[in-house]
Amino acid sequence: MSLLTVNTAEIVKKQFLFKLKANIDAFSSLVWIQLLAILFSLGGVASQGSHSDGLSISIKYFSSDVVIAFTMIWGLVTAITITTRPYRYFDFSFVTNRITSSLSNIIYLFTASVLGGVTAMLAKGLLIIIGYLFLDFQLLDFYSQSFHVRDFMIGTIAAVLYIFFISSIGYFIGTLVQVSRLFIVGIPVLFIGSMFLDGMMQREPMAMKTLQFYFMETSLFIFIVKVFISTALFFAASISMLNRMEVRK
Amino acid sequence: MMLSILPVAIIIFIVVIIIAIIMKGKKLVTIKFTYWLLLIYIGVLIISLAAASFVIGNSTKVREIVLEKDIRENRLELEKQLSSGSFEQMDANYLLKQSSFEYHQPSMKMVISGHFTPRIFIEKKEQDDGVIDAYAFSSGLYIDGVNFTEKITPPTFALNNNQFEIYPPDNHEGINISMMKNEFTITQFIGGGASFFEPIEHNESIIYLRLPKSLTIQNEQDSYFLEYVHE
Repeated sequence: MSLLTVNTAEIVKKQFLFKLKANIDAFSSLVWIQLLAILFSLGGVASQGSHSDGLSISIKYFSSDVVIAFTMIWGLVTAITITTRPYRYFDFSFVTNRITSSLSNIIYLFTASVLGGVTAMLAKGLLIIIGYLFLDFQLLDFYSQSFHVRDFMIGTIAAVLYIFFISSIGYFIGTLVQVSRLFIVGIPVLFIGSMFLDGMMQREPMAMKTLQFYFMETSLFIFIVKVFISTALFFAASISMLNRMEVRK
Repeated sequence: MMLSILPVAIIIFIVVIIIAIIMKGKKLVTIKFTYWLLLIYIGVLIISLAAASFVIGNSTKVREIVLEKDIRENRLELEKQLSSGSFEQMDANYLLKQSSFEYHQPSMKMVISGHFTPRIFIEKKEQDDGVIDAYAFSSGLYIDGVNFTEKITPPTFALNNNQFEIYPPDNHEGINISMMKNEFTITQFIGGGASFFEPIEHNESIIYLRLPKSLTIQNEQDSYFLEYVHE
């Protein structure tokens, strides 16, 4: 019997720092994914055209929307990856249990979301500079809407929360797959099947309603509450499932 | 507070972190490739953001957004003023072009070329001064509420052999505009997202002709309709 008393917070902290180092390669993939997204964004994220009075007008919109979307996908994949067996086995190098392991994973995912969200929002500057230096954007035609630090901060907070929310879904999916391999097939079948069912019943797809629940929310405070509750539910469900698993399963 | 303050704050933050790492005795040279990649990437992003704010600041104008309602009201007001002949009260910003032609004949033909159907107002002067004054007005070009009126080319007027000709604006190259848009994570909460239904507010030019009192127009084309003011 060990005479050492263990402190949960200390263990979680140690595990988090270890995971930050051990999974550092996830961040290099973040860089490449964001660079790829910037490349795609250079063609414009949306365009509009009009022809009247002998005048043809073509508008291209530029923003880092694609970078944020790619970063969300990166968050999903990263979260699924850390639930896989090799990553979970890292934990057994430490004094650990399912709770501390999951808590350190959650903190790791939150850190990754912060880094992903901030860099995704900062990518707008790189987009402008590449367009200006290499793609001959006509500067006279390159107007910017008024841009404020407050807006940037709101955008960054929302981007971080979106990525963290998607990560929690990824963590939940990863956990389900660890519980039973049937979910590898079951989750896509459930998702696509529900869309078909909604289509046949001629009603708005459930997935669309879910997206609207988050994307159509115009109050930042309520959005934070929604994301916080949803994320907490996904992580709580994941932890409770992992708690039931045998050690090294 | 403008965007340029933000990169400075982030640079200070990064410098503080680096100093803290060095003070702790950890050598930066031992940091593996990914750390360097991340550090360089974040550095490039911050520098780009700072540079972008200068690029935008030096070469473009940050413009006021005009509400769609105001744009439409302005257009209606312009048409109302022109149709009532309140020519002197017109806002000079609406005027695209003015041309004057000496003409002493009792009548003239009017021809409009191309696919161009402007609204045409005719005002008869109180005297026969032998001068035709031609004006082109526009309520402007707005894209997502941003004023791009200076991009509009006015129509061309010409007077040849008793024939007054109006040519459509020479816009064969069109107008190509690149616009920075706020990210959806911003527009979701503060609004101002691009309207993908009717982002462009543009109406055809309005032609206003002031003719000598006794000059008559032989309306030979069905493609246009003349509206006489003060009659």
